[in-house]
Amino acid sequence: MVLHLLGVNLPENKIVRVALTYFYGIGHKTAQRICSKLSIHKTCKLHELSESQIQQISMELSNMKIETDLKREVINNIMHHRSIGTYKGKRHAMGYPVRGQRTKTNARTARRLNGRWIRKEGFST
Amino acid sequence: MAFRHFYFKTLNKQISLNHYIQPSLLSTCLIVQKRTGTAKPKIKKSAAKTQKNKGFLKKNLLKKSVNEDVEPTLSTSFTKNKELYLPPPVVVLEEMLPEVYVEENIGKIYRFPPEIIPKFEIFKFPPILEQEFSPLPYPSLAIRQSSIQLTKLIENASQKSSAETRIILSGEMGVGKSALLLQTVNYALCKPWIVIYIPFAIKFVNSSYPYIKNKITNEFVQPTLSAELLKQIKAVNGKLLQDITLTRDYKLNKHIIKSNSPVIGLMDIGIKDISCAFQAFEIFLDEIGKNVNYPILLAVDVVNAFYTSTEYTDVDDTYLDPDRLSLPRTILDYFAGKRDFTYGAVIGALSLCHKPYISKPLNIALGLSTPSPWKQYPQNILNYAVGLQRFDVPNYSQTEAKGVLDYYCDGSSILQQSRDKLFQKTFIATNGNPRKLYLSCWKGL
Repeated sequence: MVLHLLGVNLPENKIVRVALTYFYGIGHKTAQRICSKLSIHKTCKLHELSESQIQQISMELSNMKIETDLKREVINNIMHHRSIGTYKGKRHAMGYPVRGQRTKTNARTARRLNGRWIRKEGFST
Repeated sequence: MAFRHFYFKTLNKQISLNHYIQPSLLSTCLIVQKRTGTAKPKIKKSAAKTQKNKGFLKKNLLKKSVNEDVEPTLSTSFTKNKELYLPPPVVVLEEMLPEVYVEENIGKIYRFPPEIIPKFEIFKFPPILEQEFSPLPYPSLAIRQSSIQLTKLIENASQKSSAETRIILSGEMGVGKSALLLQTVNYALCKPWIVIYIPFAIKFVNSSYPYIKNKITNEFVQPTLSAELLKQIKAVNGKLLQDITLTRDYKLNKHIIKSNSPVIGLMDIGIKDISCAFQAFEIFLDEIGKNVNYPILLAVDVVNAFYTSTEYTDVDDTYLDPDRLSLPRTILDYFAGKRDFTYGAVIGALSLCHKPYISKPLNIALGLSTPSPWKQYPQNILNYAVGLQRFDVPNYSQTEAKGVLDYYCDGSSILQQSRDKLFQKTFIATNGNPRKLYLSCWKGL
């Protein structure tokens, strides 16, 4: 059985603290903070929650920046650097590491991941 | 390629193939050769089914006859194949009744009475002792000098307020604190007293049960745990509780219960309506505390879990102290003497097995360790440890160890060495520590 919450499918058999980490933007710390705020004990599973508790969780999550909002913010930050012509923006555009790492060897992750938003949106200065 | 086995019918095909085969490989007899292959059509077996063999190890589940006073013929835990393994020899033990706690019986083994075992199945044994009981035919313990001393204290407490008898059992790891507490609970159940026994206090504080904040008192209530505890107490002490009536009217949420109605009605409300379970439990403790007919024993194993910070978290993500949880706080009130039963006793047993729950403030209050001048200890926890009596449990004496070893040898088909040698070897190696003695016999030194 699966619980649908804010566009994400959460398996019902999972512990609440762990299931909340399935959201983009929520890790173990924020999941623990949410459970403490709503007085959900550590071994509580999703199917044990009442309707009111699920509504409280969704209210808490809607007040936070997660999923598409967070992804959009990250992309906007990168685009901002590109648009104002900073060094960081150029590195993103070229697909090189941004934070001063070496490029003689080992820039694999940067080459794979950097600049994909810029190329996607067809951005050019 | 096997061109030898041609069907007689497929002669035409064979002729076409002859173009590709060298004439020397062919022999004329092959062309007319009939089918002589080893592949034969499968003959279906008749409908008579063969009996399945029972297998190398078969499960020998015996039904437990708990209510009948029948001598056991086989150990209930013996599940191995009778043809290959000898069953353990049957040892006939007497019941551990209150009369048995006498100086002459030190070192003798007694089993729990058959009427009391269902009550322990409701409360459940402490997890470590449950493992230790498994190779033996039925749960049984040895009478020790400390068991006689503790039962004398309990006997004196039956005419005094529980605030005067607040005992904590202490000692090394594996020395027999939980077993001693179990014997005391058995003594009280036989007497009869009203007994509230918590075999594993850690489950109250390890964040395994739901909890809700009470905004008025700023405490956290555990409704399902309170209901479970009420259910257990009702199942064990039902007959005695029918004689106790309420002294005044009470209102719990939407339920009203009038005075002079039995206490069991109040417990039923708490069990059915979980939202008022804790309230019902508190009122229940008050009411039975006032009664004069039956003394009350509150026994808690791993009591040090109530003196350390819990795994529950507050709204601001800080760990809660046990006095912020309503159920542990109520039990701590009885240990601290802030609330008491008219007649009865409160006993707790420390446990060193669970390291995160070893309580430094409690050890300081009992005199087991000295306070460090550089550290501050939580005052709220120290307040609940005032006035506790320490009861040290020693290792086995020689007579006790000999009696226990004799029982292990009698009840097992493994330990067949000479008993004197075994006793000397194990007693010297383990220094009489009960758990080490048990492990050395059943798992080797």
